[in-house]
Amino acid sequence: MILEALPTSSANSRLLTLFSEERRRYLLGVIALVFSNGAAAAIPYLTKVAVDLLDSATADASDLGTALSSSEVLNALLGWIMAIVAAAAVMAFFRVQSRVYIFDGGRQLEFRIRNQLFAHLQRLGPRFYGGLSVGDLVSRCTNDIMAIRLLGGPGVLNAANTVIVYVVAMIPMLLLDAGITALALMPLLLLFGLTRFIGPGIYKASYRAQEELSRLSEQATETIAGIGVIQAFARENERQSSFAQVSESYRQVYLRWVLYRAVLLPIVAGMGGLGTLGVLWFGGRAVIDGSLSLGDLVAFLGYLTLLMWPTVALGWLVSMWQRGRAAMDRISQLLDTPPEVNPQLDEPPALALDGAIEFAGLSYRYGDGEEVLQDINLRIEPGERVLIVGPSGAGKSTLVSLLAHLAAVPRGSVRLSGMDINDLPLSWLRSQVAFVPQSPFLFSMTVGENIGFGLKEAQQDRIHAAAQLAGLEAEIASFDAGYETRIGERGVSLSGGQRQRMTIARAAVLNPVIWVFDDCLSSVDAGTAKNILASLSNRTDRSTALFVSHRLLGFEAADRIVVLEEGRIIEQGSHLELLAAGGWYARLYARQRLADDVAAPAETETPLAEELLR
Amino acid sequence: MRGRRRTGDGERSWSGSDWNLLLRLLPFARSHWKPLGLSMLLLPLVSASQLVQPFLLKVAIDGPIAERDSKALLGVVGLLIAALLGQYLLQFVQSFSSHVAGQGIVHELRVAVHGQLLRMSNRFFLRNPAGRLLTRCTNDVEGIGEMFAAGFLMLFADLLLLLGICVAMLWLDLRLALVTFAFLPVLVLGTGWFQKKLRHCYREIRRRTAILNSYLQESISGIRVIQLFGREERTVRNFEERNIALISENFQSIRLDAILFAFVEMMRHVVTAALIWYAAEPILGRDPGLSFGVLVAFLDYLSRFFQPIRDLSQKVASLQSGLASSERIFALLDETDWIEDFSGGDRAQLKQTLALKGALSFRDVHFWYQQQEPVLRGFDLEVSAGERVALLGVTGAGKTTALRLVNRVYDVESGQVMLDGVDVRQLRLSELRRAVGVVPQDVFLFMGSVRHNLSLGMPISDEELWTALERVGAAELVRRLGGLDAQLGERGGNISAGERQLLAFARVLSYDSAVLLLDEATSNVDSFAEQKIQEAIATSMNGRTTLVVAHRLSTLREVDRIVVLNQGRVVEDGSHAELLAAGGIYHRFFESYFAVDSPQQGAFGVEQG
Repeated sequence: MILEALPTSSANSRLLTLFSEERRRYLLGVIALVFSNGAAAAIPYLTKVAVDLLDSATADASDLGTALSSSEVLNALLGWIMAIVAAAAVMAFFRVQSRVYIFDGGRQLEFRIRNQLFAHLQRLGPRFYGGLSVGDLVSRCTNDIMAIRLLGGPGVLNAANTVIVYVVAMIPMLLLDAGITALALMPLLLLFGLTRFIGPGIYKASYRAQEELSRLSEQATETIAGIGVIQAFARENERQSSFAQVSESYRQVYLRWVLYRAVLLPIVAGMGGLGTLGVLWFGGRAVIDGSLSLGDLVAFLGYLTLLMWPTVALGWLVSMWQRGRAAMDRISQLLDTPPEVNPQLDEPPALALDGAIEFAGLSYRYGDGEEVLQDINLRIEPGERVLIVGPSGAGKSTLVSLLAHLAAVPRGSVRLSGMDINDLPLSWLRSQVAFVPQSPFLFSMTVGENIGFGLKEAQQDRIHAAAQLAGLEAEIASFDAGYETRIGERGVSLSGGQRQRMTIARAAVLNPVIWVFDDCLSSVDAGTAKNILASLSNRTDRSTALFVSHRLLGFEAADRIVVLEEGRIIEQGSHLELLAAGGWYARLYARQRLADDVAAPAETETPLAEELLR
Repeated sequence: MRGRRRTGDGERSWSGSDWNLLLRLLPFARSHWKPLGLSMLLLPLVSASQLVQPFLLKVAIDGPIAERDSKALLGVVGLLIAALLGQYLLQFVQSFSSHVAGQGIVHELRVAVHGQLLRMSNRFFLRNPAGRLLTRCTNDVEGIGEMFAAGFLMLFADLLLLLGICVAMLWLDLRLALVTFAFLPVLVLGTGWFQKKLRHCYREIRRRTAILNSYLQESISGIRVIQLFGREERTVRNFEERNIALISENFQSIRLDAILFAFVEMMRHVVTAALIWYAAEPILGRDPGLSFGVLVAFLDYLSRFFQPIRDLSQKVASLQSGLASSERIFALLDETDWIEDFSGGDRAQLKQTLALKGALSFRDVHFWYQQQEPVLRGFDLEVSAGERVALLGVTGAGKTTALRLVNRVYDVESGQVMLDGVDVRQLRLSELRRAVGVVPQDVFLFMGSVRHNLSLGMPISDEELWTALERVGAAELVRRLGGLDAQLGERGGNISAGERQLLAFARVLSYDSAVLLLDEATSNVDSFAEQKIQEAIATSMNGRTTLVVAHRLSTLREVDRIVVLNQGRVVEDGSHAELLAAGGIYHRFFESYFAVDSPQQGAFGVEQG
C-alpha cells in the first residue's frame, strides 16, 4: 500500500481528540499554572514596592526632618520581603503541580496513543503488512510518537504558560502604564504573521525528516536481516553507500528543520527584546519627565523579563506543533487503515466445530492486485485429509490462511461446520484451527512459552505432550533450563529443524479440530518427519487436516487432492480419479514418480504420509 | 568476544574512562571542525552579549535616568539593542553550527557503525540480536548527536555563563555577591540530591524504553503467528504492561524534575529577597558603592544565574546518556569478529585465480560451531573444475557447513579449503565471493525493485536480467508483478516462497559465478518450476563447479557425483548407480529418505545469517 505524504484532516482532529482526552489533567495543570504565574508576577510587584520604599526613604531622608527612621523603613521592608518569600513559596508549590499535571498529561497521551497504535497494528492483516517494513513501523511507533509527546507535554505547558504569563503580566502592566504595555504586545502581532508564512515550510521539513528517519531504520534493519546475502554476493560497498546516502539525506532534511527552528528563535526573541527596549526607552523618558516612578520602571522591566521566555517559547512551539502534526499524520496513516477483520462476539457459538469446511464462491485479492483466488468452491468433510497442490503463486497459502480469518472474506464464502466465518469470534476460531506456517518464527520467550503460545494459560501437561509429539522432548531435556530455556537473545539458538518442530508443537498444543500444514516439513530430516507424521496421525484422528505441499508422492492416500492454478481449482478428486483424468496432477505425479522409479524399485517405498492420511 | 567493553545495554556510572570516550569521538569530529570550532568560538561571545545586558541596564538607571539625561539614555538604549540583537544572531549561528557539527558527527558515526556491521561474521550475528544492533545504528547514534547538540556544548556554554555571572556579580558588588554565594551550598546540595535521583530515573527510563521497543519490534515481526494463534489480546496486554512500567518511571521523573525546577526558582526569589534586605541598610546609609542601578542589575544577573543551574540536571543526563551510547558504539566498533580479508601482496596469485576454473578441494577440514561439538572432522573432498557434486547426509552431518566454508561464511579450524589450488583464505574476500554464487535456504528479499533484488546494485543490464529470468522460468512471474521496476516488500508481498526462490536463482545466474553453491535450494519450488530451474542450472552449470546440498532425486540425477557425509566425514563417494549398487549407507538412506516428501535439514544448530 502507498501512504500519501499529505497532511490528512484526520491528523488535526485526532491530535485535538487526544488532547481533549487529557483535559482534566491539562485543566488542573493550567489552573496551577495560573496560580504559580500569579505568584511569580506578584514578586516583581513586591520587589517594586520594596525598592520604592527604599527609594522614597532615601529621597525623604534628603528632605530634612520628614524622614522616616531607618528602623521604621526596615520594619516595613521586612514585611515586604516576607511577602516575597511567601509568594515564592506559593509559586513553587503551584509550579510543581502545574508541571506534574501537564507533563503527566503529555506522558499519558503518549502512553495512550502508543497502546492504541500497537493494538491497532495487532489487528491489521496481511494486506497491510505486505507493503510496510518492520523498520518503518517501528520508527513510526517510536520516533513519531516521541514528537507527539513533546507537543503534549512541554508543548502544552509552554503554550499555556505563554498565554497565562501574557495575561497575568499584562494586568499590572496596564495598571502601571497602558501605552508602554502596548509596546510589549507588538512582537506578538508580528509573530502571528511570521508563523503563517513559515509554518508550512516547517511542516514539510518535519515530515521529510520523520520519513528519512523511517528509511534509516528500515535500511539498518534490512542490512542486519540480509547480511547473509550481502556478504555472499560481496555487495558490502554498494550497501554501505546506499545507507550513507539515506543517512546523508536525513542529515540534510533534519538540518533544514533545525534551520527553521534556529531562525525562528532569534527572530521571535529579537522581537521580544525590541519590546523591552521600547519600554526602556519610553519608560526611561517617562521617569525623566517624572510621570513614572523609578520603582514602576523597575517593575515594568521585571514583567518584561517574565515575558521573555514565553515569547521565545512561542517560536519553539511553532516548530514543535508542525513536527507533532507531521508525526500525527504518519501515525494517522496507520490508524486510518481499518482492520480487515473485526473480532465478532465474545461468546463462542453454541455449536462445536466438527471440522467441516466449505468455500463457496470465494475470491480474494491483495490490495489492488490481481485476484489470487477466483471463485473457489470446495467442501471438506469432517475428518477429511486434503492435499492442496499447485504451482508457486497459485494461491495455496492464501487459501488456507483464510481459514484463520487473517483477511476479510465476503459473507458466505467461507463456512466452518456450516457457520459463516464472519460470525465466529476470532480468538475462538484461531484456537480451533492450528497452523504450522511455512517459516518457523519463534518469539524470544522460553521454550515452554513458545510451545504454549496459543493457550490462554500455561498448561504444562499439554505443553509436554505437544513437545513429545513433535519429537522435541529429549532435546528440551538437554537444554540447561529445560522448558524454561529462553530462545534467542541470551538463550539457546535452535536449528532450522528444531524451530520447525517447535512450530508443530505449538500447533499441537491446541488440540485443534482443523490442522493446516502450510508446506512446513521442508527443513526436517526424513527420520524426524516420519516420527512427527506418525504421532500426528494418532492425534489427528478426528481432525480435518489440510496439507499444502509441492511433493505429491506419499500423499496418494489423501481423501482428496485439490489442484490450484492461478487462483482456481482446476482439478480435484482422489489420487486414482486424478490419475485417470490425466490432467495436471497426473502429469506431475508421473514426472515425480518417474524420477523415483528411475532411482529405486517401487517396493522399497514406504509412503510415510499414508500413515497420516489413513 | 574480544570487544573490550560490554556490548550489553547495561548502565554505567561516570568514570575516568569517560574522557577516553570523548577522546575517541574526536576523530569523528575532526572533519567537522569548522562548524564545531565556530560554535565553540561563539559560545563566549553569546555569553558576553548576555552578560553585558544587565550591566547596561544598571548604566541606564544609574546614569541617564537618574540624571534625567534623555540623550545619554538614547545611547545606552542603542547599546542594549545592539547587545540583544547580537545575542540572538550569535545564538542562531552558534546553535545552527553546533547542529551542523552534531549531525555531521552523527552521520559519520552511523555510517561507521553500519560499515562495521557489514564486516561482521555470521557468528557475531548469532550472538547479537537484531534489535540490539538496530539500536546501535539508530538510537545510540542519535544519543551522541543529542549529546553534542544539546548537552555537551550547552553545558560548556552554561558553565561559561555561570562563571561570567559570578565574576560580574563580584565586580558589581562584593557584599551582595557574597550574600548570593552564601546560598550556594543549599542550592548545590539540593540540586545535587535531585540530580542523583534523576540520573537513576533516566537510566531506568532508558532501560524500560529498550524493553518496550524490543517487544514492539518482535510483535511486528511475528504478527502473522500472533494472529494465527489468536494471541493479539495478550500481546496487547503484555505491551501495555511494559508501557505502564515505562510511564510509571516517567511519572517519577516528572515529579523529581518539577520539584527541582520549582526549588531552584524559589531559591532565586529567596535570594532576591535576601539581597533587598541586605541592600537596604547600605542604601539607606547612603553607601556610595551601592546604588539602585547596581541592585537592579544584580537582580537581573541573579535571574540569569539560576536558569543554567536548573537545567544542569537535564544536560548532565543527556551527556551521560550520550556517553553510555558512545560506550556501546565503541564496543561494537572494537569488535573484531570478522572474516579476515587477505591482505598479502601476491597480486599474481590473485590474477591467476581470477581466470577461475573452479576446482575445489577440502583437505582434512575440521570445523565446529561449539568446540565440544565438532561438525566436520577430517573432511576431504576433491571437486574438479566443472564437476557437479551433491552432498547427502543426515542432520548434523556437515553438509551446509561444508558449503559455508567455501565462500568463507566461516573459516576452517584446521585443514584447508582451496579454490584452484589456492587456499580461500589467501584470496581477496570480495573476489572470492564474486566467484562463488550462492542460493541459500531462506531467500531474503530487500525492499525495492525486482531489478535491485536481482542485481543488488551491480551494473547488470536489463537484458541480462531478463535472460536470467527466462532461464529460470521467472520471467512470467516478473511480468505479472509489473516488470523489473515492480516493488518487492520486506515480506515479499504476495510472492510465494517458491517464487522467491525462483528470483534467487535468477540472481545467481545473472551474477554468472564460476562456482555454484546450492543449499536445499529446490525444496520450496514446485515441480514445474523446479523442472525449469533444473534445466537452467544444467545449462548454466556447463563448465561451472557446483556443490549442492540435495534432497531431491531430480537433483541427484543431474549431478556427476554423490558424496555421503556422516559425522563430518565422507563415507561414500560415487555416482548414483555405483552407490546404490554398493548397498551401503546411500542405499539405505535413499530408501527411507526419498520415499517421503520431507526434504532434510540443512542447518546445524544455527540459523542462516
